[in-house]
Amino acid sequence: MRVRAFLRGLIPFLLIIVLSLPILVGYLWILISTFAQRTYGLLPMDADGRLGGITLKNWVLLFQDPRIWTLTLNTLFLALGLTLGVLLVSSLAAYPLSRIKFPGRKGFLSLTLILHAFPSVTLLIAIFFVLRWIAKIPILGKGIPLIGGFGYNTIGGVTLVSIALQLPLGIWLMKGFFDTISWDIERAALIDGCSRFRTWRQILLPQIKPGLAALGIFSFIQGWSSFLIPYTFIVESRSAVISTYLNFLTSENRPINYGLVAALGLYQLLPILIFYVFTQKYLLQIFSGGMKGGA
Amino acid sequence: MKVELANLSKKFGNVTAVDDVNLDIRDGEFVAFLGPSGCGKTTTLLMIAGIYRPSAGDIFFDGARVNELQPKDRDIGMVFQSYALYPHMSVFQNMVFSLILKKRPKQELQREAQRVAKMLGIVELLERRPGQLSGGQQQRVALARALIKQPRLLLFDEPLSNLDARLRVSMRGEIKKLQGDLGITSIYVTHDQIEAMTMADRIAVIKDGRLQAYLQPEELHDRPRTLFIAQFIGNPPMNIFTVELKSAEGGLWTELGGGVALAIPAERRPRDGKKTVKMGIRPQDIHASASGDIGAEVSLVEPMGRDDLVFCKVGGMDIQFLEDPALKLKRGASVRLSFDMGKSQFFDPQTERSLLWE
Amino acid sequence: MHASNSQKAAPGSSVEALARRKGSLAWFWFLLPSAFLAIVFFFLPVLITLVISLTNMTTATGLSGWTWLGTGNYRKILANPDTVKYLWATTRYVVFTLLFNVVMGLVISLITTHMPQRSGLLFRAIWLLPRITPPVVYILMWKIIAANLPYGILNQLIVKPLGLATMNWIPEAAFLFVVLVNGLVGASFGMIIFTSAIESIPKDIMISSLVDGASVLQRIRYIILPQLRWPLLFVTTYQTLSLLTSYEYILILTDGNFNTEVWALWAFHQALSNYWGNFQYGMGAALAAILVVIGVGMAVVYLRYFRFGELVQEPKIDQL
Repeated sequence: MRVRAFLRGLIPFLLIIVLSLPILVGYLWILISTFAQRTYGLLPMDADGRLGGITLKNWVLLFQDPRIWTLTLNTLFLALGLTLGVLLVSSLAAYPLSRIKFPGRKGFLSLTLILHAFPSVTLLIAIFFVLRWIAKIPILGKGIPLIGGFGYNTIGGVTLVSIALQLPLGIWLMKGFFDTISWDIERAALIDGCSRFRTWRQILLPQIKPGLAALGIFSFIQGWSSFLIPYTFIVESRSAVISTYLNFLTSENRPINYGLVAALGLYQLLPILIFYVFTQKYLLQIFSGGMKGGA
Repeated sequence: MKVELANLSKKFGNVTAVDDVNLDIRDGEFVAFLGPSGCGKTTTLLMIAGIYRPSAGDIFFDGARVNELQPKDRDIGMVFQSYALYPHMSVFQNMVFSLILKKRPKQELQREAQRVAKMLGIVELLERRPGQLSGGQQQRVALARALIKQPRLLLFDEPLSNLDARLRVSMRGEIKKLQGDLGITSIYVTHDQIEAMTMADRIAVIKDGRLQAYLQPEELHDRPRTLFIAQFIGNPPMNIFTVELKSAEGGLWTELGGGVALAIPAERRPRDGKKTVKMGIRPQDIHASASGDIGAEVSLVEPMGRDDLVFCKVGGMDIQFLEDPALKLKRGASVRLSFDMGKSQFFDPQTERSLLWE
Repeated sequence: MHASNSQKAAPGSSVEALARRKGSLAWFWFLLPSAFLAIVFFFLPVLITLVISLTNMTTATGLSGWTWLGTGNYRKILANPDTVKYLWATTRYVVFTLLFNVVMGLVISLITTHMPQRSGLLFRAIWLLPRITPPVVYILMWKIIAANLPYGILNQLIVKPLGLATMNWIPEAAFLFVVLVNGLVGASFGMIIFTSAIESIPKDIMISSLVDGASVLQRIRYIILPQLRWPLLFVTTYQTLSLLTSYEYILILTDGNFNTEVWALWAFHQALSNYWGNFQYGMGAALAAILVVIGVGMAVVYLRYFRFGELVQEPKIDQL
């Protein structure tokens, strides 16, 4: 009787393991492949086709490539820029949408939702034109050292676009967090003599630190993984960000060094996995919160 | 500082929360806004604070119209029901925040914080965070925060509701004493009539957004202007019955039903000459006495310590009265009741206004 | 009780009026950055898309040598024999991936809520991995799964042992892989929403139904599924819109080859990565414009229907 119950309890486990195989296999492969000269299926092989071939050579090759540092820096700039940009602009915008009575508030809120549900990828063609136009602006367009500027073919421009497209989700989430703050605290601050801005900065933001952290981590991961926007808006996309370089390595009609490619992939995955393991609760909050409003 | 409310109203959409309220508060007076939940008393308070904008009417501080004045410029201190302390700041920082915003020098912050902390007995709490304090301590900090500005007006929004009964009683006394010593005009919102009765110089009774009466506690208790006030004020609540008035033997009598009639003293005669009225009599004005006019059967006895609250039925009506526990009244016992008609109240059944007092 | 004072003007009333106006404009400054970005990257682009779609702009004509075509591009699209092909590819893609998303999302949420909580959390975490994996890395995993010998996992572990012909499966079954790749990512959306709906069913009802004699499967059918009607509708309509306009994974996996070029990818290719370098801006914009109009329309309808406006609460502090 107990054996039957036990076996019955196993069914969900068996089912889901079978269904999850592609994911598990994929991850397993990346892990193994970064440390193997080659892999036949999931088995590490050496150069002569025999089992074994465990090596760190892939990682050595990866870090010897001078491109890795530019790529990492660009990707980091994008990730951090996206994070800071989204956090700042969203939390600024979400405050009046949540807490201040102003004319047109309802309209703004509906607009935020519509933009949220609207598929922004359809606008990439037009954004191409916008970025080219921004590139014409003196200094800001193309003249800023290191990042190039905010126009077409610059990492700054890519970051700007990414921030903008992430805003509807960010604003909607931040508004949700602001909604949870008690009104009495804000009233007390106003009576004490705080301006709206100071109330926002010194009183309200500290109350939603977990929300800020969650959105921040989510945005960082988005930026770090970003592919389509850097690919579209940087001409030499192979040297733009990690994603685009990886795409370049795996899409040409030439022999692919899977070990090296897997190493680069794992290199990109690592920060994300670390965040995922330690802050999963926050991330899940973002995914659910964002999805109720549509993500 | 004097405060004056003139035709003050507030609407939220189609709902009228505050309806044409007029009252004046003298300098140094302690006024209570009393009423059931949702009656508009907190809304009125928040309009005085400048958090809500009046839909109609005006608010005057010392004769100056302040409707458009920002809360921070009104020179007020406010204590919230939820304390509303800033959780991420220490007690000290919470207290001096308003002074920091006024850009006061550091020494002044220290000095003032010490002064007020001593006044409220929270000196040793200055470095703690609100989360580490008990409810009573948080309440004191909230009070300290309001007082440190030396405001012209103190606003209280049910500050003691979240405290346990014992603490509430002691804090009541402290707040009243403090207010008396400092002489700051104060408005205290509460739904607890005991609080209002014990603390306030005058009580504004509010129901459904309208001001029912604005009088001293004694006046409201002994001479309630409306049925609502009569039942709301006083604990245990007043007994109310519908009775017939009969003229007989040169006097006015009430018919309680069951053939019992009580004589109404001349000074308690209801005006307007109505036949059917609502009569009210407080539990403490009914006594069990062998010579009583009315027979009743005890249905329940609630010991309240100093008194017993006795529930009984008289000819179909439910009556409560307070009696000496020494009488050891028990359920099922028959008693005779005597009513102190000199304390009776009469109300118009339709308008619910008092037929004795204006 | 009535004190009727004549209205006295507050001292310095003009100062007060100014302060009031300043205070009540704070919201404007808060909204400015996002309003600016929204105009530049949403509203302007919508306009630009519509306008350019009416021209014959390409890299050849540049920004000065183009002419108005009116509905020219649109007529070209209608006349193009490939249009039906792309329409068909898009429809297939949306329908089958949607099916996979919804069914899998449902299945996963049902399975993981019928096991010990921590295991459920673990497996849902695993199913969230495709969504958080960088797209290129994620597709790399799939490429290796489908690759030919000696590297390909599918070939090594299943096809060869079964004695069947081995090959690179992506060209062979491109559409299947497109659905799987997008589906594994998309399923987690439904998974999260359905799980949250299932978990909000009161425990008492879940237990009492079993006590009443229902089997687990019957409980799923009669108690759980009815609770999922609204979430199912929500997930279906939401993902339909997002699938109609998504193309990133297809771009990386097949770049539209092997009959996987969906409408959105076609637009992208036309305008931004045409093979011979003569980017067809006008044409691409026309293709995109159609999606934009559908997108806006669906977003508005969808919002109205799901009444998200109810999540709006009135502020409890007035502007004086």
